[in-house]
Amino acid sequence: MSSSILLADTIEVVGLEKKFGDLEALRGVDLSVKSGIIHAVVGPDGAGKTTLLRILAGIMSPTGGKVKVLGRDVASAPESIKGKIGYLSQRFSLNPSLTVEENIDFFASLYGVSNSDKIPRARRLLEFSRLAGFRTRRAAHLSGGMKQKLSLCCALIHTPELLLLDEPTTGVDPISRRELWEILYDLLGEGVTVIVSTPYMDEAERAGEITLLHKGRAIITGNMKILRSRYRFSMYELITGDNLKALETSARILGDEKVSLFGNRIHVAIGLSDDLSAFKSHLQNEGIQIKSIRSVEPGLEDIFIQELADAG
Amino acid sequence: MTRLRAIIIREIITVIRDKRALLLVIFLPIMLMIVYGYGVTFDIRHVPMGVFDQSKSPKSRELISKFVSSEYFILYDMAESYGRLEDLLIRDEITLGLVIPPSFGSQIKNQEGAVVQVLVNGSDANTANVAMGYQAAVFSDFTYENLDLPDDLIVPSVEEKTRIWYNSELKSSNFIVPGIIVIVMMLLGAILTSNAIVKEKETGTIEQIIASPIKSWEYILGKITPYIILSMFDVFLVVAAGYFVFQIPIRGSLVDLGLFSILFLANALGIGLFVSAVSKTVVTSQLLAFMISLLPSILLSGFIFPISSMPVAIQAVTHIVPARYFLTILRGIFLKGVGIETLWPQALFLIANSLFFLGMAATKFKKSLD
Amino acid sequence: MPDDRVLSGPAVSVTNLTKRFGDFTAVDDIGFDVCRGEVFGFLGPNGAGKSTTIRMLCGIIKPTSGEGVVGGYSIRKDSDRIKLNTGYMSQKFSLYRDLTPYENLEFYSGVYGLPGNRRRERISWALDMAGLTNRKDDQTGDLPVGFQQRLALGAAVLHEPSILFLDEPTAGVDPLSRRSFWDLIHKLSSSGVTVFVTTHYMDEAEHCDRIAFIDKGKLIKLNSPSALKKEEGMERVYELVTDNWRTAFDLLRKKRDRFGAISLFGTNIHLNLQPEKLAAVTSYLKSEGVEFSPINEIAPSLEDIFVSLLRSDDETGDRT
Repeated sequence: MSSSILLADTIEVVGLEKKFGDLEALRGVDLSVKSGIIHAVVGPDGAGKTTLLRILAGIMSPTGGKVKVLGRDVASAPESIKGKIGYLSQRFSLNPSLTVEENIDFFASLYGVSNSDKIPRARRLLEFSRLAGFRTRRAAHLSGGMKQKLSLCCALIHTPELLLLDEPTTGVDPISRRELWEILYDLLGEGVTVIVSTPYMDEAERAGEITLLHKGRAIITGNMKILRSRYRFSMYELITGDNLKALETSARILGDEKVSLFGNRIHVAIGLSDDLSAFKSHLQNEGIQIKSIRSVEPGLEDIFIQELADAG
Repeated sequence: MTRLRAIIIREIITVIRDKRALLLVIFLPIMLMIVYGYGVTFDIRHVPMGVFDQSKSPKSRELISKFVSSEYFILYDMAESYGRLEDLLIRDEITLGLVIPPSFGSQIKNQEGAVVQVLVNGSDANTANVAMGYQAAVFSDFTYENLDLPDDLIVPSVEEKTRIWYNSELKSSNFIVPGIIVIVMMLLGAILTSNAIVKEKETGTIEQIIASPIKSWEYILGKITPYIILSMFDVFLVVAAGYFVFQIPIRGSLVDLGLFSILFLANALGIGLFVSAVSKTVVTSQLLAFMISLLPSILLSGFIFPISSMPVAIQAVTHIVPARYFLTILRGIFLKGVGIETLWPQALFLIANSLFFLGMAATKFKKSLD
Repeated sequence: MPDDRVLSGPAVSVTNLTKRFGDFTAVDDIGFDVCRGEVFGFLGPNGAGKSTTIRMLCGIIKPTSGEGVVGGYSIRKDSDRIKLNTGYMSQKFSLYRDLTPYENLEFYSGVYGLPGNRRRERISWALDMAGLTNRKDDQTGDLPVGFQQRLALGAAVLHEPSILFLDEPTAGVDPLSRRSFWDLIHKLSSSGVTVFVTTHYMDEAEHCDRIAFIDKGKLIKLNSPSALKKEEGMERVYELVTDNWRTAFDLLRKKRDRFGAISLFGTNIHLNLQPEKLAAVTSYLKSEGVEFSPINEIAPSLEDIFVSLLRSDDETGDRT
């Protein structure tokens, strides 16, 4: 791996707006993404992730704002960059009646990859995705995880500078999901810019940088360290003798959104100004027996909820 | 019972609130009834005829007016020459041509018989058949009114010498084969191609195509080429079957046949591409393609129902149906042995129409999801 | 009203349950029990057999072999009774978008055959639970997703079933709505309703009392999340923090066949290893001159556990 990695801004988005009739899918999103880091865009359904990626891929035009991808203005010259982008759409985009090999050939031709480039690259990609033994299998007969890996290979066959993945691991088995991420890690060393959209908070934690998207707005962008440092609470995991009572009591003391139940464990967010021991005694006074209490790190979901509340 | 009621109520509410479905359910049958109900009729009326009246006598005028006053014929042209009648027949502008001899007037006045030549355009066998029946009736009527004849004598009467042109045996296969070619082309060129493209929109695989550097025309050409090949192959099959199995004549040039077929195919493709550009779902595209390509081609082209029998308003509509012109071209090539020198007006329309639809499709095909 | 039969024994009991579609075995000889009032999770990727199992337990399809008892009724013989005593909320909710919340609830109460006065009572309860009392005449399709979700839940429990089946209930929903949804579920469960959840979202399974891992139709493991995390023989997860993370990452990945799975979380490296291998990793890094902070063990996520289970189960590692 080269020792110097160009941390240039491959993507510059300022004030991006997208309206579908009355519906505002994106309301003034700012984003800048560098190469060498995997960037995750996280948010629930309807947040605008797919719309954002489609605009970056040049297949949808913005209704407002400026979008520069690989140095080009995507609204005025989308065709000029499509050859340098690998795009994995959320919907199934392989040719089901073609084999694994034929699918790769198809995408290679679509992007003008010469045979001399295609053959070694296809071999490497298929080996890496553990699909080499399935070259002659029809795409329709692959498992969900394998289809996604194949789609990723097809998106990479033309050595793109920018890779846009729209929810690539939704519903995929955990091992294939790991393998997909392995392929992405590989790309880090090759100077490819990778943007992954996902609704899964835990998956987003793998990324080098995370943008929280909610109802068309980018709430915050940063790496996990920065995001964690903004979290104003300490998180504790509590196991008690009467979880439901503990839940109600804690909610009463701290507030509904600071408390959640996970199976037989309760997570509570204690503010810096609050006192852990005071909280514990409060519970004990109510007759709740505390079996164990330990400090845990806030997850992205906790952080997301706080940032949302702050954004108002 | 409550469960049954629950479902019924829900369905009613859902249908009422779906404005598009409601529009379809109410508006479409009415529209179809008007256009096809009025346009489509098996009654043969207003058969266009031409007359070359060499006699120009009161009696010849009486004969002519007998034809014209019936509902069954309209006078399209008073030809000044035999050649003119021929011309009209070749161009399918008249179904019947009367050639009245110069001595007609005096012959009738003198209670002698007369022979009137009747030229029948056989390329539409159905209409020709019926027209022949009608004209025989008119002639016998005229004879009855003008010539006093004892009942038992076979005496001179006004005889028609009919010559059926182009399709002397009035074989229906002769005029069905061109119709089948039209249908095949519309099916493959319009319906199947629009299907193929819109299906990609529906499944979402078009997204990946749009994201790639491929150009719009490359994609479209790639998608329709198999259908072009298939269509031409089918035409070849149908023509070969017609020629060898049903013995239909091919009096014109095969090269012309091929070229005109490609021209018509371009029309079909233009319609198909236009439909796929404006449709989001396969259901919509199939319905639309069927309604603007196949249905008019069958009902408004003169394939089954003669145009001349339709109300004037509907006849006007048939002027924008490409199949009408192609049918004339095919009949011209198969049965009349003519080529571009006669068929150029039809060819002109087909060229213009295909450019129109292809142009519309081109403006709508953007490499974008918007 | 919940049937009396429900009051004894486990709420759901499954033995040797199998379902085949032609050559394809969707569910392969699974067996488990679910206690009353438990929140039970069925975890596995798409195509693992979760939806098929739920459909059999709801009485919608019949098993090829094996038996299941739901609320005291057999899924083979009494599937009609089961439908009356269980509630089902499917993925993406099955609400009618062009009906109002009130109309949706009316429809479902009709489907469950609720009599007039009970119907009114339950509908207003459901509207209240969903927070839609003042919005009962809006169009359902226009409501925010969180509300639709709660409405769908209300619709599923109008007839007060003792057992509730939830199929991927919070897929793609924002975190706040998901939290409040799970609060509702926990309230129901503490009132005695047994909740059976299927999901492919590992994080969500943390809300459950016990989890069954399903893969390719087979039941791989069944236990509570905390017990699973402490189990013997599992891989442990270690976190490596170093400024030189790129180099460290590269080096470790090249050796992953020897060590185990290496992933990147931000700039921290996670190692999924058998504990015996840890020493080898640290000495390797030291020998390559990489400086790092002391490596801690961190709590494995359910995904880590699942992967570890699948790996020990799967020899070739090729998933077909």
